[in-house]
Amino acid sequence: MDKLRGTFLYVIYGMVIKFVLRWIVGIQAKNQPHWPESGPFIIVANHNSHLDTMAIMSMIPYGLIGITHPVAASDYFGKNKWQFYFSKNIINAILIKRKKDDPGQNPIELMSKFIDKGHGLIIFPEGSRGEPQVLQPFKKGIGILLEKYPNIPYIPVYLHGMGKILPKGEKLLVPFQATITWGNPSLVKATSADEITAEIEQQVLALSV
Amino acid sequence: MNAWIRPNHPFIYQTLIAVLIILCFATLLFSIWKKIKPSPLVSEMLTRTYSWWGMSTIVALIVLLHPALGVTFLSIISLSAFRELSSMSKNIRAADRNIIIWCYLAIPVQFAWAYLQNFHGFITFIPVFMFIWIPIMLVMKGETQDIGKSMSVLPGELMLTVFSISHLAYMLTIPISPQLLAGGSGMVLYVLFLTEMNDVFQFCWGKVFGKHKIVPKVSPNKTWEGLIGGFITTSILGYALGFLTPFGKYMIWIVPAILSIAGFIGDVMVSAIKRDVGVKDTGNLIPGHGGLMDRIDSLLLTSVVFFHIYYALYHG
Repeated sequence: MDKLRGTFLYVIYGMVIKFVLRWIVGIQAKNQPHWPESGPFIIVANHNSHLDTMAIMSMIPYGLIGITHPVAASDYFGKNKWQFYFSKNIINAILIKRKKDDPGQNPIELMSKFIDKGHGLIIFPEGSRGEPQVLQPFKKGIGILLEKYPNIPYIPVYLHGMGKILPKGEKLLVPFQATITWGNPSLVKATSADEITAEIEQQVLALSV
Repeated sequence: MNAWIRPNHPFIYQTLIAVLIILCFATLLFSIWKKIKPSPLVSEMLTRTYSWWGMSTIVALIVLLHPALGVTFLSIISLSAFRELSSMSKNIRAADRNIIIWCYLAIPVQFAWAYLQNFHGFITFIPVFMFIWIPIMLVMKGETQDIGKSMSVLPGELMLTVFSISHLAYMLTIPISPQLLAGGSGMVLYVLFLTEMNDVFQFCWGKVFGKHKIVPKVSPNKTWEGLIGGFITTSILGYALGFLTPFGKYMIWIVPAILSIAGFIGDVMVSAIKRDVGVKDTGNLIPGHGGLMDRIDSLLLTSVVFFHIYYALYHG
């Protein structure tokens, strides 16, 4: 079943969306990472556009895409039944609550469940898409998660120009040159959640040059 | 014959084999040179040669396959060129994103006119219709701050990237006739080969003999020696490849000479735009060469000029 799901997602992302993003929209990749053989791993990226998830997913290799889940906000991506179904099955997302008082499971516990299963996560620690080309401070969740799992590699990704193609609040996609820069998988050096968050933020930012 | 491969004249195969020999020779030369005396320049030349292999393959596919596929390829090249230019342009406002989409929608229409050989639609769609449509859409949007820039830059960029490349698409679909033995694809091959070789010739002559700069403020590498050397070499090559064109004994000397000059002008035109924006390359699509616009800059004018000389003489 997992294999079937991986094939389905690979055809959508690794072939169709990859072709459109590369040749029509104009997203170019810089240095492919040395992918781990299997999960768990955490992909950490900056966030300006819905395209960010698409661009990352389109470059995940065949063997890993079935077990890679973007982590998304349930209040946005689970608004109604259809969106919930779409997010779960087509985006392969894990829906977490953003605010403490919202109903549902503790986000860290939910993500831990998937890591324990050996799955990969895509996390945008900025929390929301924000203004184009502006990096917001990273939220602490990623630090807490990696403090709990210090032996899991994280892969930093820097996305540039996506906010110009499909900015927040716009429905129309307009092709522009954009780049996706991959860092190599590495382990966190810091030990406390705050330091880990800062370290990862720095690693993502380091890819911007 | 397979429906997807067009029945080509032997002239085309002969030219493509000549290209193959040049590429093999260049690859061998730079590989050996790199082995004996490695330097950054040789490494870059080798990277560029590898890219030439890729680009030549695409050209061969455009010329050899069914024109519908060739026209599709050319339209994607146009789209990429327009995207490169509009992405780096500083005269396009953030508010123009909804208008830029009209430019992208114009690309398939323009290439459809070309493929259908509808000359009137092809020649008026961008210079007349889009030149009215884009400004009126901008006006409807109502954002008047700096609107003049957008009104002129957007259609202008469409002209430079889409209108020009679509001339190759129109030529590609011209059928074989008694005066045009190699057909339209022969002419496309002629323009592409000659334009790119002219770039190489001008580069080589300039590197070896270059002294007197033509436009030092725009492109410091362009010298009179390179231009004149390229002019003469290209004219000779153009004459030698004359069998791909319908031109007679005088025009076959004049046309390559004009192409050489047109290529130079296209080159410095794009250089000037790059200098204005403050970038060295328009992108990094082609290893060793930079962006697509860096490579096809001279083609933007040669394709148009060549087409209209042909059309004036043989279709008038």
